[in-house]
Amino acid sequence: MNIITIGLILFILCVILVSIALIWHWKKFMPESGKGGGIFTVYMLGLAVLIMALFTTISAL
Amino acid sequence: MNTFELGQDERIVAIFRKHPFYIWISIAKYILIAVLPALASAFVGDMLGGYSEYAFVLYLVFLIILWIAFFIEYTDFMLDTWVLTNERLIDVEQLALFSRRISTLSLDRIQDITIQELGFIDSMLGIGTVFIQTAGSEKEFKILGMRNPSFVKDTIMEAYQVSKDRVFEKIADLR
Repeated sequence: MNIITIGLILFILCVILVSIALIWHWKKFMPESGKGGGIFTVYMLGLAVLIMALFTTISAL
Repeated sequence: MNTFELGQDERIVAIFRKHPFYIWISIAKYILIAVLPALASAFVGDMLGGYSEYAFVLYLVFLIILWIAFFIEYTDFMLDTWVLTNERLIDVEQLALFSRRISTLSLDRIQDITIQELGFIDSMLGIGTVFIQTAGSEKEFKILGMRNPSFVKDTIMEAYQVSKDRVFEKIADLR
């Protein structure tokens, strides 16, 4: 494994951990914001788009 | 779910938050930070030469970090609340994820409430600071960046009056 792969794995791990922390806060303290579209949908959609763009670019390198 | 426990006969009268103007400012700030490297690359793009693909990967990583940072700030904004109950005013200050400071002010210790609107933006958008002077030598309670500070002041004063009347009723019952 080269340094880019290790760095990417660590980065994705951090993103997952922070996302879990955020979602925990929203579920516990802001249940009203989860109704309808909600903050969770916007966050996950944006994150998914960015991560997909990242992987597409890396695979094209 | 609240970040604190309510007393037996305690009920929530109102929940106050900072004016949404602060989150608009935050959105503008993050958009600007996100766009700046893209603008810079338009000028120095040729200098990067063969490294531009790696630079784009780094830019995407930067965007992901910004995306998460904005939502952390938004969560912080939403969880920074002032909860007025029929017995006390609770200041819940979210310091970071998993860190918060909760201060409580009993309504019967309120002596004076002052509101302050400073500047053009504050006056136009109805943003202000509410200062609550308390009995005793402790620092005054300050509610910063509040939407419609006059309404906040009136609501707290009303709750204070109701709380005071209840105390007098209890004293009268004891006699």
